[in-house]
Amino acid sequence: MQQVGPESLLSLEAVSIGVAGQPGVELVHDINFRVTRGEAIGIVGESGSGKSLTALSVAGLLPAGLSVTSGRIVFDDRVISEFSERDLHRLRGKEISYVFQDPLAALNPTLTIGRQMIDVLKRHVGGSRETLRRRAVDGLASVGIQEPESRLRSYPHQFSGGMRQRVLIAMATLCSPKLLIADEPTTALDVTVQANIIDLFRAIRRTGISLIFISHNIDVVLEFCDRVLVLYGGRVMEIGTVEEIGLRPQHPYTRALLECVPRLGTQLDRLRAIEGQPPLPGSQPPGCPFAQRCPRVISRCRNERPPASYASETHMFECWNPADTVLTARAS
Amino acid sequence: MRRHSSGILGIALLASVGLAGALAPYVAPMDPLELDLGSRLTAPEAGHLFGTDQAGRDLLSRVIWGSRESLSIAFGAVALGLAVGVTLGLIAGFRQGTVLETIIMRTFDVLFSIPLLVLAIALIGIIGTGPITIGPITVGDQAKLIALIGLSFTPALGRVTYGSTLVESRSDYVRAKRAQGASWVELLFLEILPNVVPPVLVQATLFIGVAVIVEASLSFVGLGVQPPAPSWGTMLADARNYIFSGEWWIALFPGLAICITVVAFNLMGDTLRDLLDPRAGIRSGFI
Amino acid sequence: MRHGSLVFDVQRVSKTFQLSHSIFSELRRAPAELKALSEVSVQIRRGEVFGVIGESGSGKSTLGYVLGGIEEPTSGSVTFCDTPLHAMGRQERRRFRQKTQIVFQDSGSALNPRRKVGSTLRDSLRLAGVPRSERAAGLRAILQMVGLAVDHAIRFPHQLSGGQRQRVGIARALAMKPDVLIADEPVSALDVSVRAQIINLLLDLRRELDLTIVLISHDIGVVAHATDRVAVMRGGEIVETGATAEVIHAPKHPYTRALISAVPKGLRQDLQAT
Repeated sequence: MQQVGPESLLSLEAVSIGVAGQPGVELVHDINFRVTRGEAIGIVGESGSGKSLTALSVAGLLPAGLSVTSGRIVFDDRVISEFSERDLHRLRGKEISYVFQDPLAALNPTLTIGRQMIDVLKRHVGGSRETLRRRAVDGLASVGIQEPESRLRSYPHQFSGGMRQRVLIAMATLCSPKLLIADEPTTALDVTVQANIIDLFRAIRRTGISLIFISHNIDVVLEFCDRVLVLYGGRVMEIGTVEEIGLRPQHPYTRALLECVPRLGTQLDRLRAIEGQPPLPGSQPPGCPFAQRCPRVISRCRNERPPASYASETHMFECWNPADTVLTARAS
Repeated sequence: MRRHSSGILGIALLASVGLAGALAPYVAPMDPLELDLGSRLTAPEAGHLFGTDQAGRDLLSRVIWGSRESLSIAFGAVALGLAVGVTLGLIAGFRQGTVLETIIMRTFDVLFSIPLLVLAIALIGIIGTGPITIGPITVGDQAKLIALIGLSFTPALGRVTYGSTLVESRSDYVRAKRAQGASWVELLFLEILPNVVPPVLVQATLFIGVAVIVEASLSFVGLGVQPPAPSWGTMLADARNYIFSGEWWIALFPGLAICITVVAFNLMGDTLRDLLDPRAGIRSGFI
Repeated sequence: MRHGSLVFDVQRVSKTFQLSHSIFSELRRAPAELKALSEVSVQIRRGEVFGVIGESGSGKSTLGYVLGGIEEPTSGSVTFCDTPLHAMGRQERRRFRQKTQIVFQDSGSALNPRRKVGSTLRDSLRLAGVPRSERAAGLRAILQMVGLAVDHAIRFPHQLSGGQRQRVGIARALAMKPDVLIADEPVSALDVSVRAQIINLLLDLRRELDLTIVLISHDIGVVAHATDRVAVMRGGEIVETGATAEVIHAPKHPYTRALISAVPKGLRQDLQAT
């Protein structure tokens, strides 16, 4: 299943993330997945599921005190989980870009957008000041910002939330990275703005950039990703293509997530929730982490961790009692 | 723990200095005012660990008693500055856009624009040194200094409070409580104050160090604590005449005491801020 | 008050905010005022769940604050249970504000970060006039109503999850024994899987306590499944009102249509278990 072929861009092999110096405490356990060139993979989970930590570990941006405690991360045939900070520094911005969740916090409020973009370009790309400026203008235009020339001189607070997000995306794509990681980029945005940002990501994908898209809303991920990874309690619950996850979800958690998103279909009845709360990061119950909240729980679930099962070559899930249904596709 | 090592050092230093001052009657080996003209200007030795000054008084005892003097004035001044500054800052920030706010803030501006020492010197120059009597109340040296130095801290502390208050009064929790009918007094002191205090407190801690230096400076020029009462500033003033003639200990020990105290307060600053934040601990925002 | 009668009758309400006037804003030619509401008219019936949908800047929150009595309309009239607001004396005003409570979005600043949540709730009970001897019981009661345990009360806001904090916000509102709950973006900051918990809680409370609920949100999916009637706002105006099912399935205004089509549709129509 995990053949590392020539088109594999990123591969996480049995990656665990924990607190350095505290061997028992693990926040993310045994993550395995692969991203091929040009592919978009969505990581879905609730708060505390470990999705952000997983993404941060790829970019080498784990907060102080946390580190990859086992396994390895291979990017473009290089084992970046063992890279020094200096090498990671060279990688970031140029080959791997990260779009953070809160655009206002991610942008320096005292510098103009143009200045911040040119700073990024200067570090990774050479050229005269004019060339860099031209490139920044193109970058802003490519994300749909009107009058990019004059907007270079604007400050972050002069943009609306959606536009700030676009600016972040522009900055992330400036150096034509191989991999773009977006952490909840649409969460704080209005629905129409969200739709536009999703279109923007589709356009970015068409340029061949690989994408890791993190969200707690599974529908957003299903809109435009190729494959989906479902995390809970720091573990992979299910991974598969968008069709497999969307139409043939095996894991009860995946099904529950799908049920939770309100749809504007014919029946506007009561909203579904997953009762209870996700486990605290670092807690490690003996069996399946979802056992406490699972509607299909059997006694085995609480004591033994389920092994990896495969519904197809691309579809893996870990469950003792999977739901066995095929769902009707929406008439398009 | 490692992060706070400097803070812990600061606290340790401070505790030693403070305790020495507080327990002065028991810790000091001799009476700081006792003259012993027979052993004037003796260098540090077994009987006099810090040596003696020009009047034969034991320097160690004077430094210890001086700590009491200097620290009580410094703490008193900052306490006063906090009490007045924070209250005014809260009111100004809460009542933004009103005449009251303008009066308070512009007063702060005026006071702030005058350098601290100049202000203090001018005021003491006017009032005079030594105890003064206003009607039935006798205001001693110490009280005067506390009032003066405290007054000069008020604008800075008030401004910090004002800034935080502006931010906090707009938050939802204040809005919610106001909507439920709370009085402005309750909003200001029960809700906003606890959120505004930490940065001010850290600033105030740094000011204690400043107060020590100001008091020492004033005493040095004769406008502060009057001799023969031991204060580090007066001791330095006395030492002026002896720095170059070889009696180095008369200046060194009080000077060292001032240094250590001020450094200790600065070191404590960061640790104090962390201690006051209920959110200290592992931040889980990244998961 | 009979069921079905009007709780709110809002007629052509406008609200303009004066922005700060300084030399700098003059030089920058920044706008001096912000028109948040523009001739808004709406009726809210007793016992219903009324939704207000809009994006940022639509004025939906301002409308909520006007209904809750923490903002005054610049023009137009708001009638609460047959009494116009401007005709109310101070006592009546106080009672009006007590009867209409606002639940704020958990933006991190909805609860005082330096006070334990139990302490905040006890204050609300006190402001509601509950005598000291009955406050502990009152606290237990409101915690229970929102599904929290008593030992949640000794925690600070940052020690609770987003969903729990939102429950505290609802408990705070319930302490005043209101007739109307105005929920301003109550679930936007929460995970999708937790949202329904809070929405369903509001709906349960509506039934148990005979409340009227105004649900303000930019999340159409949530509003569609939880409300009886809905108003769609844009730029300070209401562009469409009606029964929720109608507005969602047969939107008349182009803006409403645009909003609905922007919602991600997922891959399948519905989930059927075997």
